[in-house]
Amino acid sequence: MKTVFTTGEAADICKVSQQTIIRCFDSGRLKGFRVPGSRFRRIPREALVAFMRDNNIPPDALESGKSKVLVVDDDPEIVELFVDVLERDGRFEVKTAATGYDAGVLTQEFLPDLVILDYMLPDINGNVVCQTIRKNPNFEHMKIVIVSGVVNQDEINDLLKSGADEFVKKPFNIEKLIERVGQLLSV
Amino acid sequence: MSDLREKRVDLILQQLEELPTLPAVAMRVLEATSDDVSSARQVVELISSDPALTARILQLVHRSDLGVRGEVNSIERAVVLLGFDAVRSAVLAISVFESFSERSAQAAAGRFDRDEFWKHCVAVACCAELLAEAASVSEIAPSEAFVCGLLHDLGKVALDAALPKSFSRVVEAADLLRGNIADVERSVIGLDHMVVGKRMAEKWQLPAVIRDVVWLHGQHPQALPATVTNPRMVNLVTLADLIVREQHLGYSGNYAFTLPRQALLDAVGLTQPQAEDAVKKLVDRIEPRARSLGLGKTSTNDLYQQALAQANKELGRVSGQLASKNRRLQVRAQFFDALSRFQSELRPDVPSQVVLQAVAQTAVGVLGVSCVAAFSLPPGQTFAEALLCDGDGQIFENSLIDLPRKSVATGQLPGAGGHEGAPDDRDAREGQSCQLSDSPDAGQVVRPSRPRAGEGPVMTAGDELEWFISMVSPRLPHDKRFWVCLEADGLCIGGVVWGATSGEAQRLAPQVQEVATIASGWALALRTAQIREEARALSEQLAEANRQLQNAQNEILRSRTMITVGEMAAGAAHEMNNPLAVISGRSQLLAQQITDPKHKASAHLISEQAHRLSAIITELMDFAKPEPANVLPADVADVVERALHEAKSDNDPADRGIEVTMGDVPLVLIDAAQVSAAVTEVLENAIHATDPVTGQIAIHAGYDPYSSRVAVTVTDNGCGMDENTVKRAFDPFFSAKPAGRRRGLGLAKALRWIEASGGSIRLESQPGQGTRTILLLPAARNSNEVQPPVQPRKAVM
Repeated sequence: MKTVFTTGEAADICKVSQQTIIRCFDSGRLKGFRVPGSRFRRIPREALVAFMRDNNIPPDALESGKSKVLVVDDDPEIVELFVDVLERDGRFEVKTAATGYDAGVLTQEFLPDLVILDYMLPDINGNVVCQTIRKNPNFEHMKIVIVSGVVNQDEINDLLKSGADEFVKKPFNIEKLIERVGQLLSV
Repeated sequence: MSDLREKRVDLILQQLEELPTLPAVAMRVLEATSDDVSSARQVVELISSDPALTARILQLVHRSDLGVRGEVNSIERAVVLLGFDAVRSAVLAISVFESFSERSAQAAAGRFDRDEFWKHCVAVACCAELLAEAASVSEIAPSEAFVCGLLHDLGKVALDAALPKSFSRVVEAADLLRGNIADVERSVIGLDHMVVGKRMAEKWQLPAVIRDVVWLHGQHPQALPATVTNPRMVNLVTLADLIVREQHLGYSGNYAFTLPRQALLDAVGLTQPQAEDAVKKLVDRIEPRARSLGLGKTSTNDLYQQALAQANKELGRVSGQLASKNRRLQVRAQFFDALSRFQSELRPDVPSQVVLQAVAQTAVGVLGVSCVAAFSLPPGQTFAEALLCDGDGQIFENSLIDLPRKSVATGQLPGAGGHEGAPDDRDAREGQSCQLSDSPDAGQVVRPSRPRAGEGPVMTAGDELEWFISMVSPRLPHDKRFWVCLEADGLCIGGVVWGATSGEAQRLAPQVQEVATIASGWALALRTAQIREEARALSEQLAEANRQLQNAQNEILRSRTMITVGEMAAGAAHEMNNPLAVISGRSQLLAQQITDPKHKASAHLISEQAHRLSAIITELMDFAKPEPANVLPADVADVVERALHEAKSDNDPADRGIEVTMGDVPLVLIDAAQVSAAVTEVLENAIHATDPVTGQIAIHAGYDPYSSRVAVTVTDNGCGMDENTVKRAFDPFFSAKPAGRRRGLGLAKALRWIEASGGSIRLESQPGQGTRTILLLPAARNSNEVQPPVQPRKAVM
């Protein structure tokens, strides 16, 4: 994935003139750095995302118009089901992980907008993953949906306390699930 | 409180001692067997010597359907025709029955149905006999089994005869609670019919095997003490009793069916088909056997025979009175006669009450005074057993008296207040007049001390006997009183007290010497009897503890099963919900893609069923690990009303007529939400079981003050359940219906909820007749609680 943009690329993505990008860069509204020696302007991905968000520029061009969803479950059939359901909808870009460790790595790399997290993972419990994500201010906007087959109201309350946005019991109604994911991402 | 209960039990046991003894002929008959020709001949002679009994036996032969009317005119002939065993059983039944017939006249007004009860006894006897025949093991001879079965509930007859009013209350409460009558007996009377029966069996000196059956029937086979003479016989009668009650033959008062049938069959050595075979023959056998025992309907002929028997009894009584008068003359005549009489009273197993009577009678005989008081003071007890004996040797008052309590402030005997003196004086007096009991639970009770060295066994009765004399003084009409201390193991275990004027005291000097001589003999006899009673009480407590242990084990087993079910459900939830999610999700995706409406519906159905399965798992988890009960005082009427509302809204819209009668019941201590949900489940079952048009459902609430429980009874006239269904009705997912059934968690959940509130559920049902469900709920402590009758401080029989 592309992590650094030139002013021209940024202008294309934001659908504005290159001059506008340069002006914003120079005034500090668009964060970035200059290449040592050549003094060319360069814009890191996070800075561009933040700039677009601050100026209400649709992120379509940057992110292929899709919200990014990370599905974490150790049962491959369940993972495949989520992938099918989400991709059929067409609004989501999906990646998957089978363990808490993989989930951690992918969260850093993929920067998902929403994580669908199985509560009982082989190496680590969902609530710990949840807490770890919430500790990092970079993931402030990330939404977390926990799914589990075991329902105990006390546990659900604890999960919601440790930062989950939603709890979904297996088995689930796919229409309601998609609807709720859409609401959380407001897409 | 425990003191009071002990005393109450003791008074009841005294009552039992006054019940009639078994006639000699019956005892002799019990010892004889048909194998022993010479003793059989003796028995025949013995029966023949009793004209009333002979008449009864011959009459039975006439009545039995043997086609030999008019030909039988001697007992020998009867034995030939009926067999020795039949005659033996008949003699026994007649003797036992008539021993209580006098008392039963008073009891007739009570709730205990004797006719139905005898029917139960005969049925158990026949069943035991049939099972013994099927087993064909030498330990359980059929004729012996018959006698054991016939007498197994001896204790109930004894309780009914000795305490007709209390026992009537027991029967009433057992009918309401539908539980084990023995539990009710213990809560109302203080001891159960097994223990009472054992006492009667000991008093009548019945063979050990009968005594053990009477005492231990109804025990789990593994809970029998190791010392039982013939455990197989006990198990056999327990099994027979269970079968007969399952068949609803006669009335036993016991509604509990918790015994393990298979374990009993194994213990007896029978297979299920053998037992079923025996049951098939049972009903046919009962009728002729009841007739041959004379327990059928009373005809005019019988009345004549009963009159004869009554006349015979009168004669016996008159001759008994003559004998006792003669005895008293002898006692008065000589000290040695008194002594020998005392010795003769001391059979190996007489109770301390009888020893005490003999002591008092001997003392009266020796001293020649008009009244003697005697008391027995078992170590460790907080009360004394006392009696008074008049100049003729008649015992005219039995009572139990509390020992004085040591006053905590001064550490002195209450009566000793007037003797406040110098410290050295006090030491001497305390050493002489009182000492603390060495029993820890006796607490502050003060016992009279034994005499100090140098003091004679005969002393002037002073402060140390104040507690006793103040209770009996109106009966000891003299101002100077003497007593002799009966001591054992360095303790005062009893005493004999008499009064005399100064002149008399002088005259009595030689007799007093003799009393002093005999005192150690009295003490020995009394202590022996006390020790025996302690041992007996201990063994009875042990049997009771065994019973409770058995219940506790059942409970542990059940809760362990619940934990396992809970773990299994949680595991299943985790393991099964993933595949269910895939099934449900995939079928939903399919449904979206399919255009053919029929296939689309099928795909939806798959998804729905997956969700339904998941819901069952969740329900099972809730069942195994329910929410903790929030127990608060609640009004039963509100609970029932809520349940009615729920049940009606859940079921058919037609307003079923459900009759509700609320007795005068106190508040109950329950989780109202859970209990009303349980009542709802029960009501829904009743609604499902009954016909929408002809069905009748009734709810009744009643209160049992003795167990402090409120019974909510739901009765319907629906399709009912067979025995096997009733037994498994509380198992999760059990259903009698093979198809189209509801998920069977209703009653299982109801039981969990009721038990969480400290209550219990009982279920009775007959196929085609309907079902009765009884929910027992704990009453709130402080609301209009009915105290059991309090025993007066001094209880006179």
